[in-house]
Amino acid sequence: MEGRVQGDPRPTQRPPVRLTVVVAAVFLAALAVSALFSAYHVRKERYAVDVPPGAKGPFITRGAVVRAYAAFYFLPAIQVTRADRVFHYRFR
Amino acid sequence: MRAEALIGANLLILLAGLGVLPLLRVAHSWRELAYRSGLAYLCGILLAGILSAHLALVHVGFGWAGLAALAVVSLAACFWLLRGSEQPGWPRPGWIHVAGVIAVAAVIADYVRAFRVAPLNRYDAWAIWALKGHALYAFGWADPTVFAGAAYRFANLDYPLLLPSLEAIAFRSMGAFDTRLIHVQFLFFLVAALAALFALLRDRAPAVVLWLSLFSIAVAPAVFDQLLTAYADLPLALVFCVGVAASGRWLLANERWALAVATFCFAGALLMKNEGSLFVLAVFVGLLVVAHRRWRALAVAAAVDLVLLLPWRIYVHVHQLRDINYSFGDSFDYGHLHGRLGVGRIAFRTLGGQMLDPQQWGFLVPLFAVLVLAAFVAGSRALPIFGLVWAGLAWLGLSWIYVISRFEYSSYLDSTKERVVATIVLGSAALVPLLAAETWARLSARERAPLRTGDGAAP
Repeated sequence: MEGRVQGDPRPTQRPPVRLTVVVAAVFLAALAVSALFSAYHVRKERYAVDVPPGAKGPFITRGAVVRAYAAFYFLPAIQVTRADRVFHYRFR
Repeated sequence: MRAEALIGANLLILLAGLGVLPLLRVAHSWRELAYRSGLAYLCGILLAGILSAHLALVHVGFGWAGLAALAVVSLAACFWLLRGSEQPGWPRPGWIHVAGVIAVAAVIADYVRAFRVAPLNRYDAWAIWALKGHALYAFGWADPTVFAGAAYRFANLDYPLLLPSLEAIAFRSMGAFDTRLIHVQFLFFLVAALAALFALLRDRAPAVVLWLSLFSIAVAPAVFDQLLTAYADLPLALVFCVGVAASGRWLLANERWALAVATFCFAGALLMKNEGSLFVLAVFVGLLVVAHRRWRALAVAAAVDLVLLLPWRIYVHVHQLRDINYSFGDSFDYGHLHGRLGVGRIAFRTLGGQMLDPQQWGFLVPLFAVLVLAAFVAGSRALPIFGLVWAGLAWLGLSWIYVISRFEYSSYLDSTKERVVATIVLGSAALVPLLAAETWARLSARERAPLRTGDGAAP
């Protein structure tokens, strides 16, 4: 059998680095890169809402509905209790 | 262009889900992967949703790059695990399957016309779910200025983030906060759940029974109406019902992969809405009652679900977020309960009426009840007892919420009764094909061997 490539007679062993570790590392690295690329800083404007309580519904007042809708509509601006910018709303 | 982007993102989710099936031991070969590929989309949605919800807690956004990385890694693991395994055969599908696919696809195509232009005009949809989805999209993470902000307490801040995270993925893929097209993402939940139920049950139930069940779910008026509200109740119900079907399969066949799928779905249910905890608890009690000898597997499944819920519970604890609707701690407040115990009976009866309302759910629950009875008569025990225990506990638990809530009960019940029962109805409906097949098999076996009794798998 001279000249023929012989197989490694040692018993098979687990590779030094497991594939699952490699793929997990690749995934985490990709996420980190993704986070770096997508990390943009939204300037968080802050505002307060000035609205009377209004009539009470089954769960919340009409004023609370206005605050909730302002919170939804003005995002990414942040609603706070007190701020320089104030959104005034009055019921007719 | 936004619609194409949304579809592209969901294709990546599908690929990620396809890759995760071998990891869940759903497929051990390419042939099994092809056969059970219907589970891929829902598993992909849950994988992307759970992962992005957790990453949102640690300031990591999840968009196109995250989806692409997830799909590549998942598929790489899939190729590695299935290398050299049996190739799929691609047999010609039967005419019932072809007819079923065409019928369900026609229903979904009809729904698309409404879902792509529906306005986001229901309170919980904009005040809770879309607001959070928009915040995740805008800030890239669960910024406590919103997600724990005093001004945002109205938005049920203690609700978990799976659904808003999926909305945020959709907004990122579309590149805009599109309040109309986002409804299509909710319709995709229905597509994913129907495909998953088909893959789970296709070799356990006759094709005609299976497709009639799937079609009944797809055309139930409440499924369309409630999905269109963009609330979390129907997505929760759809994810949970696949978990129930997988649990039923595990009870009958004792296949580990079925329990893995159920566990994954229940993790999704836990991270979808607080009420998911009640339903998942009910289903684990039901499983324990009928399969107590397999308690170790159930304990592992429950532990996995708790671990997946843990990061969100830590966030809730750190920011001291509380449920604004009710607290289970009030179950021990005698002063509060004293005058409200009668509410339980009213709520129980009202919710039962909702589940039986044919104008909302067709005959899904009556059919379930009849088949449970038939299965008992035919000699089956595990599946009908499981169905009765979890559905009964969930029904009682939902009724109890109205007892302990601080809201005026009639308004609270009136405004929520239609949607809270969705999980019980669809969970029951998901067991219908298994119950029908089990009953039929037992009756057939009884004709051949009248004295043969006992369930197929050991409890």
